[in-house]
Amino acid sequence: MDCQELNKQIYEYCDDSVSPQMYLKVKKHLKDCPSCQQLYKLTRLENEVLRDTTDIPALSPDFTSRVMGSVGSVRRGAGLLYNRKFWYSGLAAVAVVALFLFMPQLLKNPAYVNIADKGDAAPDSVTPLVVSTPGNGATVEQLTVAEQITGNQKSAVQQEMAADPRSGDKSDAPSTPVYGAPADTSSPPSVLGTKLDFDADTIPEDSVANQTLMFYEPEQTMPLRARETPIAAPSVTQDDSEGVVEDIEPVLTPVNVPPSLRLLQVDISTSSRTVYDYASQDGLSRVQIAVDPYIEPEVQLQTLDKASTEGINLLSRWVKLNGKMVTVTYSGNVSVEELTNLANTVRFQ
Amino acid sequence: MTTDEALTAMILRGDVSAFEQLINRYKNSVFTIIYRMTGQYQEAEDICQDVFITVYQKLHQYDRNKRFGPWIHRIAINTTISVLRKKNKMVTLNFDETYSQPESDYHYDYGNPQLFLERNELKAEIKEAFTSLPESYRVMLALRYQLDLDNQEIAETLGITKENVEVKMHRARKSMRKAVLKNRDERGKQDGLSGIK
Repeated sequence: MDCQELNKQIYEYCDDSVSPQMYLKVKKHLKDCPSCQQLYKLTRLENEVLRDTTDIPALSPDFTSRVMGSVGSVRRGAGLLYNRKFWYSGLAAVAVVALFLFMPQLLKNPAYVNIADKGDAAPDSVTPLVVSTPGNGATVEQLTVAEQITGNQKSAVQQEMAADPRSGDKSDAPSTPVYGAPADTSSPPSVLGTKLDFDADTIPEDSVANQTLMFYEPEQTMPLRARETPIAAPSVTQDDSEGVVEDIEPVLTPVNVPPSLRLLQVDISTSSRTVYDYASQDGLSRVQIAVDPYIEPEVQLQTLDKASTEGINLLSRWVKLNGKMVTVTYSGNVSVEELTNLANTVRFQ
Repeated sequence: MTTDEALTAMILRGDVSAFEQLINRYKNSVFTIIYRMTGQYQEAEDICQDVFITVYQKLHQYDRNKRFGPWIHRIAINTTISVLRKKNKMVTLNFDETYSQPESDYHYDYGNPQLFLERNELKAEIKEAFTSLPESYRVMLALRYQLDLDNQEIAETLGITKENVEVKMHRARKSMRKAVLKNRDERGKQDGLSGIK
């Protein structure tokens, strides 16, 4: 063993952690090497210093009792914490129940209502959508609200309509049909040329109804029915929520229907509604034309969810016929373009 | 004697007296580590108390398949480091001569006061060199020589491998040796240690 190797083993040697063979080698070298003897002495002194704990003061005599007291506080704190969590959970449960109980009241608040129910089921606190029918003063109540529009949005729509050159002169009269072709009431304009109309005089600014538009439910026109109904000029009546009954002139027979469509039936089983069912000559395409009393001065083009309606499209227009406002709905398993062309073609008499 | 692991099981079952036994079993070693790291008695005792409270609160996390000693010592080290770093204090292991008992050295050579003084002077230099070591070296040396832990126990305490402990321990000793000799050279000490490298 040389000095370099001893220098590597000196710590373990002084810690008595070397093998017996290494111990003998180191001991033999130290006996013959004065320099390594100094190293050995220094290492032993270092170990003495490192192992010296006499300078460490003793803990306070009451240390254990103080810790045990602190632990007791921790345990009591844990208990309180548990109780606190328990009460928090209880309060949360009460809050949920309270929210559930008061939710109907919240929904009655006009500031929170987005959906209007059927008119006959509308709560008293909800203002039903009542739209003045230009020309005859008849009123109908909104059936279903599918979308909300704010007052600002309404104003924006009105401004857009006012800027539409096809919209006609709004200053003519409040009773002027909204799509601006009052002289030709039997020939409704195209969908794009039709505009919305709002009668601000009859709709309160703070009314919930004033914030709602679009009210056609697919179920009202679908599915296509094939009941045998005598073709006749029905006398349709209109019921509003206040029981007012008003006759509608039986002038709703569609004419100018393309020859590719043949009339299957006319359904008048539903009060105030007339439904004409058509089919293509090959029977593959079905089209339905429904004439409803005027409800809302709106025209919309809506493509239903194909997954749920098997690709049936729907197009509704607001038409003024002989001073009576009606809503005509075209629907069928044909494209929107075909429905639009049909709506542009069909006339009523 | 009830093992540490059995005591922990008793504590977890609600036997608070078992925790008292555990405190008495480990309070000195825990305090030694903390005191070496802080150098202040009151602070060390406060941290020591916090360590045992932490142990009590975290006892459910203790893996009874492992030894309890390294676990609690590791908590002591980490807690102390955390406290000292929050106070932005240098973590030093204390060998304050205030608590030293030089009387124990009288037995070396009562008849040679010069050798006695030189020896005490060298010991003070060793302590100074020790305090100048990096924190990790000081903790490791304290675990080895103050608590008399073997490499495996140190490895478990510090969460490193036994081989890593061996390497770091040797480096720590070499660093301390280098610091001692450097200080002596700077002070112009000429003795038999001058030739040691």
